[in-house]
Amino acid sequence: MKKVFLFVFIGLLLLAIPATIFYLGKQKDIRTRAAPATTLSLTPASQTISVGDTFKVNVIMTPAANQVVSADIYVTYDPTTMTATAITNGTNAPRVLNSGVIQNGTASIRVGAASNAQPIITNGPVAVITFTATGPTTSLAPAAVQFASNTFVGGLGETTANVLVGTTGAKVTINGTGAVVTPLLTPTATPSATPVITGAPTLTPTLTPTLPASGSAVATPSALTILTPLSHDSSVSAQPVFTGIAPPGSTVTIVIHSAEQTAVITANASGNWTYTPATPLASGPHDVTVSILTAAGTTETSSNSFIVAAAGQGGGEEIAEVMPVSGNVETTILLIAAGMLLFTSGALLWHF
Amino acid sequence: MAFLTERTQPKTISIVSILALFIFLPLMLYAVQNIVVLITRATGTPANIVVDVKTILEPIDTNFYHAFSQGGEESKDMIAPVIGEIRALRPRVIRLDHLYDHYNVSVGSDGSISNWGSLDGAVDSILATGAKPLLALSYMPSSIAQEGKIINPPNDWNAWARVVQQTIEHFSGRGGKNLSGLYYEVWNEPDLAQFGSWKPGSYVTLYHWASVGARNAQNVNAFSLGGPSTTGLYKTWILALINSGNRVNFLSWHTYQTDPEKYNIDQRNIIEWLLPYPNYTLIPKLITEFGFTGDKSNLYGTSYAAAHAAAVIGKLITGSPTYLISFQPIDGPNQQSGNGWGLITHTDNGLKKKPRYYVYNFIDGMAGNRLSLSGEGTWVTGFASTKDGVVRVLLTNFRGKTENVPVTFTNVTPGAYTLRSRYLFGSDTKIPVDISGATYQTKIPLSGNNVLVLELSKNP
Repeated sequence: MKKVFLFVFIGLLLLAIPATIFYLGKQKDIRTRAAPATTLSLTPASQTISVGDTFKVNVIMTPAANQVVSADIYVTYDPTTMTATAITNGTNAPRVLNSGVIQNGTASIRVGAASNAQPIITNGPVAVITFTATGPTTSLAPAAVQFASNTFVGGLGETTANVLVGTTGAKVTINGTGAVVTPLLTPTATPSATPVITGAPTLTPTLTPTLPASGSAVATPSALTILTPLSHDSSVSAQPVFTGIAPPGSTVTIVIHSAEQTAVITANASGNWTYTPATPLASGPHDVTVSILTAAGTTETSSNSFIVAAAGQGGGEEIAEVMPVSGNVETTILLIAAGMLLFTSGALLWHF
Repeated sequence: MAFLTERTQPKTISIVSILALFIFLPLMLYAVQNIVVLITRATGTPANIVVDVKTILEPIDTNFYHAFSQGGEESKDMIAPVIGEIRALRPRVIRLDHLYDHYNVSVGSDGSISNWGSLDGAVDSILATGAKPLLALSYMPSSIAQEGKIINPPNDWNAWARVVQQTIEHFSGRGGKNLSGLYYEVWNEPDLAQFGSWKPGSYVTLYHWASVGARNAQNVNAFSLGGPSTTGLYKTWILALINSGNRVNFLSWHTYQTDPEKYNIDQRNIIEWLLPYPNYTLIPKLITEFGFTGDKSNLYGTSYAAAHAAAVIGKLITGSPTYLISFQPIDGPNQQSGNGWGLITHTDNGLKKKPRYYVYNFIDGMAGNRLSLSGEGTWVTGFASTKDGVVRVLLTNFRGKTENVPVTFTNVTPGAYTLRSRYLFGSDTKIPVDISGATYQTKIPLSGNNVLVLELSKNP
C-alpha cells in the first residue's frame, strides 16, 4: 500500500514539475507583455535646413509588447528659431481623437488606434509635425524638439494606463542663408488680365453692360455677389429687395427669370447695389442672374434661386432677434450677490 | 434731503430704502447685463485666413454629421411624410425615442411585449431614408412602471430587462427584423426632471438591467448598447457608467450650446477623461441631439441655425464624434410661427425646407484631405481641404456682421486658375485668375449667418 502511495506521489511530482515550469514561463511571458514598454522618438533625429525652409518631424512609436490604443502627444520647440504650422496623425495611428493644437513653442495632438480590436502593435509614425524655420541656430547649439512630460500613451491590459517608458527628441540646425521668410499676407497675384473666354457672351438686346466708371474698378475675384434674396429662401416677398456687391461704379444688369424682368443699375461708390422690381413677382420659384462686364472684357455673372411665398405664407423669419442674447452670467451672479449683501446690510441696520 | 430726514422716522427711511432697493436692483441688473451683451457683441477679431495648399493633413470625414434625431411631439411615425426629403440628406442614422409610450407597443406586467404597434412602421420609415435606426430605450412602459408613470423605475427590474431583451431581439434578431449594427441608447435625458431626474447612481441601476436584457438577447446580430444620453456632457455620469462594470459600447450626450467652440471643448474633455481608461478611449461617442438652444426658437427657421450647424461641424471636422446628430428632421404640429426645431416644417405648415436643411450636403463638397488653415476670427471660422488638385476653403460667418474676409493661399504653383465662390445662401460665381507667384490673396465678402465654399482649381 505504501508503495502505491509512493508511485502516486512520484507520478504527481513528475506531472507537477513540467506543469510548474510551463506555468512560470507563461507568467513571465504575461509579466513581460504587461510591463509598460512603449517609447516615442522624433525622426529624423537631426537635420540641417535653412531659414525659410519647411520641414517635417515624425513622431515614431515603438510599442514593444504593448497594445497601444491612444497617444496624447505634446512636443515643445524653440519658438525663436522655428514655428510649427501643422500637426496631424501618422499612418500608424489612423484616428485623430482630438485635433492638433499649436501654440507658441508647443504642438500637441491626441491620436488613436483603429479600435480596441486593432491596437497599435508595430513600430511606425503616429504623428507628423510640420515646421517652418524662422531663425538661425549654430551648429554647436542646434534647436531641440522634444516631448513634454505630460505625453501619455494608453495601452490595453496593463497594470497602469500609461505605458510610455521613454522618449527621444530631435535636433535641428538652421542655417541663416536660406530663403527669406516673407509675410504670408503679401498678395503677389492679381486677377488675370487675359481671361479665358470659352464663348462669346450671349446677352439679350436689353442688356447693356458697361465698363466700371472708374478705371481702377476692375472686377476682382468674387467681386460680383448677390446678398439677398438668399439662395433657397422659400419665404421671399412678391417685391423683394435685391442687394449685392459689385465693383464700385460698375453697371449691373439684373435679369429675373420666370416672367422675365430686366433692369440695369449702377453700383454705388462702396460697391453696393440694390434693386426692387416694379412689378410684383408671382408666387413660386424664380431665378435671378446679375452680370457685369469686367475691364478685361469678360462677362462675370452670378445667380441664385428663390421662392416667392404665396400670400399668407411669409415664413417664420424673425428679423428682430437674429442676434440672440449673449452675455456673462457671472456678472449677473456677482451683481445679485452684491445686491443681496446690500439688502442684508440694510435689513441689519434697520434692525439695530 | 436734510429736511426729509429730519421729519421722517429712521424706520420709515429704512423701509423706503429697502423698497427702493427691491425696485431698482432688478432694473440695474437688467441694464448691466444688457451693457455686457453689447460689449460682448462689439468686440472680436475679424478673420484673416491663410491656407497652405501643400500641407496636406488627414482625410476629412463627411459622414459623421449626416445624422438626425426625431423627437416625439406626435405619438406617431413622424418621418413618414418626409422620407424623400430626408433620404436626400444621406442620413447614416436617425434616432427615435419614446419607443414604449408613443407607438402603442403592448407590454405586459412581466415585461413581455405582445404587439409592436406602429413602432415597426416608424423604423421602416427610417430604413426607407437609407439610415439605420438608433433606438433610445425610453421610457418605462406604464404597465411595469411604479405608479404607472413612464419616467419611474419599474416595479420589477427583471421586467425592464425583459423589455430591453425583446426590443433587441425584435430589431437585431435574426428571427426579427434582422438589422445589424444598431445602437441602443438607454433612456433619453435621464437627468431632466421631465424624464425622471435620475441621478448617476440610479441611472447605473437602470442601465445595469438594460445590459442584463442585452446579455440575455438570443440569436441577434451585432449591436451596441450605450448611454447616458444626458442633457450635456457630464464627467460624473460618464465615469459612473464606465466604472459600473456593465457592457458599454458607446457613450452619448446632448449638446444645446450656441458657442461652436463648446463642442470642441467637450470632445477634448471626454478624451481626457477616458485616457486613463484605455478600454473605453476608442469606443464611439455620439452627440445624440444638438442645436444652438434646447428651447423652441424662431431662429431655427433662419440662416442662423444653418450657420450654427456649419460652424459646429467645422469645429469638429477633425477629432469628430462618431455621430453629431441634429435635432430634428421635422417640426411638430402647430408651429406656424416657425419656432420648431425641424429641418422641415410640419405637414400642417407645408413641409417647407428651412435653411438648415441645406447645410449638410453643402459641406460634403469639402470631401478630401484637410489642409492647414489659420487665421480664423471670432465670427468667421472655417477649414480647408484638397481633392484631385482642387483646393477648397469653407468659411462660416456665425453671428457676425458682413466681413470682407482676406483669404491667402500659400505654396501655390503659378499658373492660370479658376476661383469659384459658392455661397450656401447666395450666388455661385467663377472667375479666372492668373497666379504668378507662390502666394495668392483675395478678399471675399461673407454676410452674417452665411456659409461659403471658395474653390481654387488649376485650369487644364
